[in-house]
Amino acid sequence: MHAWRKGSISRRKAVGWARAGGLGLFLACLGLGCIFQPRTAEQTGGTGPAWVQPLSLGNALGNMKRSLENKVLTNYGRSFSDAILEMVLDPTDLSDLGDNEFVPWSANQEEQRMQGILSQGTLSLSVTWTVRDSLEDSPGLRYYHNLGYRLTFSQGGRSAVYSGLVDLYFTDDGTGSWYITKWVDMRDPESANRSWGWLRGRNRVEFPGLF
Amino acid sequence: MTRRRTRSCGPGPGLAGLLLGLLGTLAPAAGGEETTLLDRWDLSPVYSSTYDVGRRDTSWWQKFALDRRGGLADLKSALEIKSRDDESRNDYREADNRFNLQLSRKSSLGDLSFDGSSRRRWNQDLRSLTAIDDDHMSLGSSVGLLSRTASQLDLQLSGGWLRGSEVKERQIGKLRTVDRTRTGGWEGEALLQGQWEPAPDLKVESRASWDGSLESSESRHIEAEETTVYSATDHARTVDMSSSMEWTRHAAAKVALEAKYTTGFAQYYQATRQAQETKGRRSGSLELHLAGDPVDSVAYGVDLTTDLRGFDYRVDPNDKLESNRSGRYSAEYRPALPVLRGSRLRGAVQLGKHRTENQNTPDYSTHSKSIEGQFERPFGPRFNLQLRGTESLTQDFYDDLTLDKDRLRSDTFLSLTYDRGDPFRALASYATSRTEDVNIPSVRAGQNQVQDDYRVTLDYTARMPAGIALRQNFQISATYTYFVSDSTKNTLTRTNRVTTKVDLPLWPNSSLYLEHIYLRSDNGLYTYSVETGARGYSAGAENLRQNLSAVANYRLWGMVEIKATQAFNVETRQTVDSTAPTRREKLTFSGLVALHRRVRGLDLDASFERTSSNTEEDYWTIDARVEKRFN
Repeated sequence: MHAWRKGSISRRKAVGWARAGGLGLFLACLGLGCIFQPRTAEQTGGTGPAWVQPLSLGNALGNMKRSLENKVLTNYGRSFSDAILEMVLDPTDLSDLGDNEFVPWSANQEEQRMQGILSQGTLSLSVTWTVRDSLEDSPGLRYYHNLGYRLTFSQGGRSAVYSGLVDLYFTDDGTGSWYITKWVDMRDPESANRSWGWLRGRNRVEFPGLF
Repeated sequence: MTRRRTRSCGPGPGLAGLLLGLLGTLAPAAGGEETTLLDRWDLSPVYSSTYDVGRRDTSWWQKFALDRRGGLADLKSALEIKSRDDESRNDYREADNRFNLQLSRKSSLGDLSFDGSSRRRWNQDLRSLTAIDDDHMSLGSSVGLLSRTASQLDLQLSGGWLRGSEVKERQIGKLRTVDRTRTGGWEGEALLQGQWEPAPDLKVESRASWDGSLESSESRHIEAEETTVYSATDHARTVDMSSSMEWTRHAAAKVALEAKYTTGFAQYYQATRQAQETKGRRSGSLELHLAGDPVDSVAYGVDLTTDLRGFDYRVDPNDKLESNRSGRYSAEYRPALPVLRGSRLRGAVQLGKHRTENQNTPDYSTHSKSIEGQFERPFGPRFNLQLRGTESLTQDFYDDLTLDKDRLRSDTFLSLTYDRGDPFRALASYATSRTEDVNIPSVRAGQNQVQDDYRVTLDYTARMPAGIALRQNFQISATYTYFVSDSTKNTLTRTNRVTTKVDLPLWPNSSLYLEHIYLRSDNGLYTYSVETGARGYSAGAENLRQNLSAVANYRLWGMVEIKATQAFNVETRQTVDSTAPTRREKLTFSGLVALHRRVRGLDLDASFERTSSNTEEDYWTIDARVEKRFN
């Protein structure tokens, strides 16, 4: 009987401590919200390109182009879906690169990768999209088939061109805005230029004659 | 390309058909006898196939497997034939055929095995062709070094011969290159694995393996009609070690620990660089999981992970190193107080640090922390209230400080559900999210922005007499984007969406499904004055999308399904600058026949669909799977 009572008391204590701990954790979780403070940005005199809500796929391509050419990729990264992003390289590029580091891939990784490439020296970039084939859709999903792209990098009188084709898939986020969920990259069969996928995989701009 | 293979996938289908025909003669045994030849020889053949036709691509996979147990040795063999065409990817075609044979036998020296395989694969598109052949044969033995009730230790050794050849043709502009490589040599593998259970609640498993290969290779690089010959020795080795421990002593604490370490080295000819590349790789990870429920109303979990992954190239500078550390602490509390009876409180904190070092771009570390909480409270048997909140901060710290960036995101979600079971269910919810992007350096701070999303949703499902089901979803949302340094670029997007779905069962085997989606949105510049509190919005563009679709479904004899779908999509868009709205209409019709058959070892699932529309070319979609067990 005594042992039972002793066990019961220690169990009650344990329950009490556990409840107090759980409640404490919950309150701590609420209180910790105040430590979620981003750093303060340095003062700026300039402004970047505007964000146009991607209610059409053309708006999304425009956001990406302006963001890349401005070399601040906040809007570029925002053009990709946060939930899912599938990056598919051209089979020949994949074979030549050796390792496929794009499985899995995310919007944040894509932004960081392109931001890193664009930060090499004093590069300038112009981006051209060419709609070559049809735009196809079903409710909630749209994609450009054979969308052409051309990236022209310039640095100190030299230039490097990357061009190719992409099947670019967009998904409606439920509010009518379109975000990229799949990028199927292809080399341009009519051109000697390297593709965007190759640029991502090599992680640097390769100017002719240097590599 | 000069070499162009035919579209067929080689002798595979014919060979498979021949084998199937042969089995067909074997399967029925001599008249009147119960056993078949397959039974007598103890053979278990299985044929499987999938055939898929998409809008622009076709793939066909077949496998014929034959197993036999008993006799001199157990036998496992498989012939696999795979082909794929994708005209949308520069007319891409590939084939992958392989044959694998395994023999195993128990002996006084342990479990002896023979493994042989032959693989032929190629792919090509408009400007390239790659053909790779691999063959290998190996002998192996598995020996039990220790076998007791609480402990076990096994050693596996294997070694053998391998050969391969590879041809790569590339057309880049006017330049055509061809690389041909032949390799041949030896491979070996050793694996030691053990298991130890010193107590009923403690289990330890460990495994260490080594594998390596040594091959001589000769490569010919042909470019602009000039041939260069490379002779090299390719070798590779990998050491893999892993260990795990699990301890379940009390309900209050269950501990699991897992450690892995892998290092590899490979020296090989790299055709794209015409050089012998040396690649080193290493990876390691350590995980600790702790979970328990010390008392009835409280449960907790702790998950700690650290891992490292790196590649080191000698010739081609593209080294990478990534490390990751993360911890997640979670708890759940079910209050026993009468006023909160049945409610549930969950909380979790997550901390992480990710380090990325790429040779060609600036090194950086990403620090992340997040906190989430959830409260659920039932009110009676039908109502349930849920409140959820998440706050996360991700910070990129670059070594050269040029690209530092923070992202703060907060989400809240409040919902009330009403559930009367099948007749009626309803949900009302309110969700908000705020995302703040902060580029730290002044040259990038012009892009700093805050995005606020608000979304109100009402959803209900009602089942009416005669089995009619109705579901409607109403949603209103608003997205504000504020540019910190230039408020003239602030925008607002408003959306109104209504979805209606109706299921009408017409007869026992047929049904009609109707769906309508109405989505109206507009966006434009948004102004807000902090001093006066005045707000202004001018819509710059308006968008209206409507989708109406009807699906009729009929099931015949339980194995055939016929479906017809008609869809009409219309989208109108008008901007302030345009004089007239742009209108896009699409009318689609598709018919589908599906077959499902399960009989005497045969599984068949197939669907054939034809789609036509006023904006695109007609196309077929076929999805067929078959599996036949002959014994």
